[in-house]
Amino acid sequence: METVTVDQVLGRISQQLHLSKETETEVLAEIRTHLEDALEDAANRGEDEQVALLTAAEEFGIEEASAELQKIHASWDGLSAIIATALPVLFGVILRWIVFAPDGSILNWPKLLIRPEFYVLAIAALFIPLHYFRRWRFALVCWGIFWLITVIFVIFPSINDW
Amino acid sequence: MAPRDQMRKGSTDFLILSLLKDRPMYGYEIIQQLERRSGGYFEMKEGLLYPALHRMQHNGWLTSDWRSVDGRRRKYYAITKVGGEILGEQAAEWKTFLEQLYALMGADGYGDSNSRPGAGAYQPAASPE
Repeated sequence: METVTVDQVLGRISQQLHLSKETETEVLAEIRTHLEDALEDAANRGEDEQVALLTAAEEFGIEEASAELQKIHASWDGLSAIIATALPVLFGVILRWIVFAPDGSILNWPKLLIRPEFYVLAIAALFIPLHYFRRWRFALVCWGIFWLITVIFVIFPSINDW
Repeated sequence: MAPRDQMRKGSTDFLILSLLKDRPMYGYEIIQQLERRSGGYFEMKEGLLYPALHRMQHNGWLTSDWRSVDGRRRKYYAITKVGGEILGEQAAEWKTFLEQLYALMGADGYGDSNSRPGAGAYQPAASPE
């Protein structure tokens, strides 16, 4: 009889998925728990674990289910990537027009740091992604990019001529 | 695909939402509860369940969180307010669907239109001889 392990089943599923590492890890962790639960139940019933695992793998329908999971998460990951890129740029542009405007001249750092608009933008740049993304790392990356854009505006004032 | 399987597939979202309205559950538990509560009639395949759960979560009908129970980390799904509204809409749809189906079956002689199907004997239409 063909012998198979949980890792081999997960490996076959993993081959069908082409998602972000974080998403793929989470999907596989969930399926691993499911397979382990199925094996535990089979063992408690006195059934052969190999048969139980093969049955579970067959019922999972690896190719079809993986394709479906890929379809669901790929569109979501793509949308998240677009928004993750767009959000800090959007905040950067707002920063450019609200904080540095209206006269077009840049403020120096001390003046910039006492303007309430700046802090409203900084908080929005952190909390809007935190509210939107399920993973806080995405929000911190957005915030980091926002600050990078902010610093670039200050260090290179000629950007204001754009 | 057999008609019974088609009906099961078409009711996947409704079945999942119906179970989760009581309390959060993880995937394996959903399958077990579904079988137990339906006396084994509903057997949801893993390959159907997990894509459905993930799709429903992306739609905002469910939320999920990882919990450690008995030394094993499990992903629990819970119904959201939007999911509750969807469940209400789908319940109304299914009710209408079943009422119309019962009525049709009764009219065609598959049973008494005033009772649930299966209660009466099947009466084949008279042959036009």
